[in-house]
Amino acid sequence: MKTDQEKLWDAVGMLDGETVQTAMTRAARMQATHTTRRANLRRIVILIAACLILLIAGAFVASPFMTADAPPPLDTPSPTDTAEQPTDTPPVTEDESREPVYVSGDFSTDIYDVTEEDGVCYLNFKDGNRIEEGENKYPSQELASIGFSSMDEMYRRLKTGDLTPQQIYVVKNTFTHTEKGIIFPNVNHLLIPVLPDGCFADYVTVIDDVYSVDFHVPDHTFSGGASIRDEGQYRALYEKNYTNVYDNDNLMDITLSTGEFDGIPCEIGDYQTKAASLRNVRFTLETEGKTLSILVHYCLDSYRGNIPESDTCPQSISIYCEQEGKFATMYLSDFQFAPTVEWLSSFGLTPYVPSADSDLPTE
Amino acid sequence: MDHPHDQWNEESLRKGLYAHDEAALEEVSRRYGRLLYGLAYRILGSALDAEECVNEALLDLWNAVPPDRPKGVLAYVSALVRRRAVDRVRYKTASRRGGEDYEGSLEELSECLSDPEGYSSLETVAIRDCLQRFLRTLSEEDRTVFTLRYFACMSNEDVGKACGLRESAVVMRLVRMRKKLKAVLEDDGITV
Repeated sequence: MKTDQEKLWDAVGMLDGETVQTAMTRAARMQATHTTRRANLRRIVILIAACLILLIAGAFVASPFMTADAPPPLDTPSPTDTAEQPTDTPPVTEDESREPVYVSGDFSTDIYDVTEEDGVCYLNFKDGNRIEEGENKYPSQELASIGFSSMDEMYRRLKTGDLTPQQIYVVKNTFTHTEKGIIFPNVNHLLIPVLPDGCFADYVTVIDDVYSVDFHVPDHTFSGGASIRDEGQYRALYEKNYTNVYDNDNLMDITLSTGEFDGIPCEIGDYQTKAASLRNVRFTLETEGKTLSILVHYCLDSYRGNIPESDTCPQSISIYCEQEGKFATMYLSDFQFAPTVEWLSSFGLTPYVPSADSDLPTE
Repeated sequence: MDHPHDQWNEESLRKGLYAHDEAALEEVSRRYGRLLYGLAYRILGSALDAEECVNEALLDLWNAVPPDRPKGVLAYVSALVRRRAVDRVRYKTASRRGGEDYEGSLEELSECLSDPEGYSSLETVAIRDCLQRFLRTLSEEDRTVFTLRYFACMSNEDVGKACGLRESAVVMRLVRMRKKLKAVLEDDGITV
């Protein structure tokens, strides 16, 4: 008799032919490209080796061992003869201003214009923002947001108007319309999450002016993401999910007490639901110009046995980050370790800067 | 019949197989042999077993077509290789362990089940139908990433190369897809 794992694996082996054909064709093309590249690399290595051999042979022929003439005297200047060269670098003054210059959210592309007004960015398509009526053109696709493989890709494509027809459809049909235009992120002033060592920002999704960044965690000891928001949305979520976290009819037998989380004073809330016995630990960290309101959530006892139980490895952690007028909500889960205050303090926000080795526009 | 390689296209390959033309089978072996070997090797972890597996799958192809009329030859023969290789891992290898990428893919996909070692009453076909519905909600790129990782057992790096994505992007997409799949399986009552 097969286990559920074996049945699921077999079910994957029974995927429809079109899906498999498309995927395996891509794999075949990749393999062919890889083979061609390896062959080209071999040719280049052989060419370089041949050139080196010729150079060595040529140098040997021209060397004193092969001619009767004495080598010409060396004519290098002594270090004391070297004149000091003038430089063009201006002197650094102590009162040099280090204040960052705020960049407006305005910019234009071939297909849309973006303008900023009172801190909100509005996008207007040159062919109109009209919502396409009628049947959904992409019934099998996810239409909640537009996605990009990285912050660099998001920045480049939003900044140049390089959106797919499906993404344009989503912006016109799903993003919020106002009389000034479609709500859009400030692409000239993006922020990127600051993460613990080794982790970095990965896939990005955008809906209205909110962009959400997945975290890449190489050792998979946790997973998570951050959503960068305006203050109004942030405050609403903070009040609902942090301040009023126990304001929920499904929670029973709520008991609040005080304690410490890794040496930091905290509030501990134990409560029950129909499925489990749970705990919330709430505390605030103020460090390096940022305020992190943290809610650590544990499952102490899962009645159906389908949720991992631990009073040290959290089931999830919510971080509400306010930093110099910037706001983000972060959600972490799938913990394989007990996080410390020092580790949690490493989360934050910083201005996004396009990668130096890309063709990304710098303004 | 003799056919120069550049005269074979998908349509003539299908027709040749259906007509039991040995040259068509040779062309399948020539064109896809390395890819199929890679698929078998990733599951089995043994070069000898992988080679035997591909040969057996090509024989299965010869015996099955006709009456089967596959629309995509590569998809059809890939499924044959995969089935042969997985059977070999499960029932013929004492340790029941396969190649590293196969084990990694299997472990990842098992996250979608609350009890992978359990024995539910559901049939594989029901799970397949649920899986198909789930895949239809994905973009073509995500479907390809999912298929290359869990059907073809390719490493995240190779999946990234095939799809033009960074390895990290592949990993995150798969994490997201597994979460969604788990929710879909739960909604369908396949996991509790």
